[in-house]
Amino acid sequence: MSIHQRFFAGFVLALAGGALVGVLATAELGDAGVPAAAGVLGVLLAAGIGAAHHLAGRISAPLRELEESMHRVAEGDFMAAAPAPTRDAEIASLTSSFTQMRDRLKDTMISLELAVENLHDKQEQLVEVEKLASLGRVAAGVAHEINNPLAVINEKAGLLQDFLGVSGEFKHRERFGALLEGITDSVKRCRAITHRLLGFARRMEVTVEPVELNEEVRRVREYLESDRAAKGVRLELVLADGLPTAHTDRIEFEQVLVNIVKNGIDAVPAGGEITVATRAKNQRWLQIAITDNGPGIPPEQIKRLFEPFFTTKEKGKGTGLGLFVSRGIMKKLGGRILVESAPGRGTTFTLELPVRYVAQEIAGA
Amino acid sequence: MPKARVLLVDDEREFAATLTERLGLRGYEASAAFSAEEAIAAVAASAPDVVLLDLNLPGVRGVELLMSLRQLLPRGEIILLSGHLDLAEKIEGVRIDAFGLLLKPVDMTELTAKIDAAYQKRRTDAPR
Repeated sequence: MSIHQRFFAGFVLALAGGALVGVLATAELGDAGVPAAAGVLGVLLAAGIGAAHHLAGRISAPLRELEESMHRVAEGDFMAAAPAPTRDAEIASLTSSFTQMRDRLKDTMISLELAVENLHDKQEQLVEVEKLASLGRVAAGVAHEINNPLAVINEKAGLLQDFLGVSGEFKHRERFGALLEGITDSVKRCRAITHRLLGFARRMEVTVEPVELNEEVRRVREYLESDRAAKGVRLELVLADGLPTAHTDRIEFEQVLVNIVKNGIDAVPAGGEITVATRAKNQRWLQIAITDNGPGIPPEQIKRLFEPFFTTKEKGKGTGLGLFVSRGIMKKLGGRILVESAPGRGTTFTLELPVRYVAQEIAGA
Repeated sequence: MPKARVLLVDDEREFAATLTERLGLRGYEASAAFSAEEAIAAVAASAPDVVLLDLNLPGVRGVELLMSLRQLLPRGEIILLSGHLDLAEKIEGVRIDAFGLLLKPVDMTELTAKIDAAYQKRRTDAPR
């Protein structure tokens, strides 16, 4: 029996009870009793209606509460309380069903929200990767177009230098030499930029091989030995024992390490100090921290550090692509670069590298 | 050691002519071809020791030209000298055939070292 049927039945029962008593009273009193009987009937009828009303109230109050709670859930309030416990078994069962439904709805909503958030993240990542890829394509095109005329300038200036080398003394000879050197040096600067851009565009694919992190760090120190010695910088290695063998792109990772350690050498004053420390962050992640005691980076520059062509080095010293490319590589390897710095307190770059390379979703190349 | 006979193949005339002259000044017997046809004719006629080849010639697929030159020149070394590298995959396929790849603009010391190494290899290799 539904709640409504039950409610209606109670009401009818009460009415019927009142009517029955009225009829019995009328029969006993005979004709003279008619007005009295009518009065009694009225009272009883009223009592019957009252009883029905009371019964209806006992059922409908929790129902109203339940309805209210449902409205609140419908409006997205999953904390809406279920109605207070009631003696009525069916309403209690209804209430408990409501609670279950509300909780399940709440769980679903939470996982839906998480999924949407995740989707947004993925979308952002994808946009970022696409941006990098199309930037790479444009960069490669531009680099190519520039390389050809640049090669002509390079050879023409070079030929003039060749001639100068076999010429006797003439007026302005020294000036000539210096001017030509200015041209070829500028060509070298352009070349560093275009070759880097091409390198960035080309290297979208990854070659995975076993990599011993500490060996890589030592190798990079050897690469940079002449830069280090020229500036009288101390380069300390703090290498953790028992690191897991990484499976990643060695050449790419090495480039990142070289870029960042070299930046450190450029950043510190003569006689400065750089520490490269390796450790396993956990079973799955390796960490390499490169700390220098240079002047540090002001907060407003930190934001721009990884932008292409952003450089604080003096004109002609940096292409502004080192960190940009490094960040691209670390992303491609499934890792990341963190930077911590404050003016006067030096800088720490932390590379986080997954022990096992997992192919990234990279669109295009 | 005698210097290699070098053929430079590049449609960028200003570049090819100037580099040829510079190589000449350094004792190489250098000449230039400005198109695929000229390159094939020059290789057939003089069988240079080393070919410096730009793969981006108009009207011809670089890889095909490389294959043709390789067939005509079983004992010569081919060095790719290119303005860009998005040919990376194509080059990958033919890498075994080319002695090396240099990106323009190239440093003269680097270039002559590569030419000399290619020439050295050609002289020591058994005939193919």
